[in-house]
Amino acid sequence: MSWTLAHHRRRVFRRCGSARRCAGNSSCLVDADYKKRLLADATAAIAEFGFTNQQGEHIVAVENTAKVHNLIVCTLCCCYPWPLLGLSPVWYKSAPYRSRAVIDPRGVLREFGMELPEDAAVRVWDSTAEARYIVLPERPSNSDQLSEQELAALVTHDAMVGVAKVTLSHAGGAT
Amino acid sequence: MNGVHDMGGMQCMGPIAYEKNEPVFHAHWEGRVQALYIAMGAWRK
Repeated sequence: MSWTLAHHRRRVFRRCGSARRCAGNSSCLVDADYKKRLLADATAAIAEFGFTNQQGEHIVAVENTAKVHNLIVCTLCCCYPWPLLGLSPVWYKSAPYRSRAVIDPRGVLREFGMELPEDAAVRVWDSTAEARYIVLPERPSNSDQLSEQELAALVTHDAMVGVAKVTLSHAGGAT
Repeated sequence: MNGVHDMGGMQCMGPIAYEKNEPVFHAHWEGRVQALYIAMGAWRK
């Protein structure tokens, strides 16, 4: 394999580097101005950190709250914000996830170990060839003392797709 | 869009096979093909 190909593979496709998690999310958990910019124009806000590339030309950020939970899917194939999260995992591309995320999101979340309260709304975002989505997860309770770097370490790949919450114990999802 | 590729709402596809700490590539060739794809895109070939 030539240096170019090996270089591309290493540089571009390491999934979910900690710096990218930090850029996409933890800044929002501690910086209200950045959060405002991210929710208004995620593509531009994320570009502030230099994360621009193929499949990330138009990114939309959606915010999780105590009353609203967002879930991302691509029912047509596997559209995904590559510059932020790397390649999509196999389960994201699989028929069971793509088919059921839109008709039984609570059941899907239950399979990932997440039970949503009945009074919480679920919003499912179907990615397209043009628009890719990331979830801005809810800041965990009792995390006031944590620094941005410590919060960044808690934000998982799964939390940015919406199949896990950010917790102090890392429970509920892999990186 | 109607067609076999639009899977939204289909039923009986079974459970979701979640793999914790899933690797970026499961086989060596997958990385090679992806790198080729990116490299060719950059050269517009």
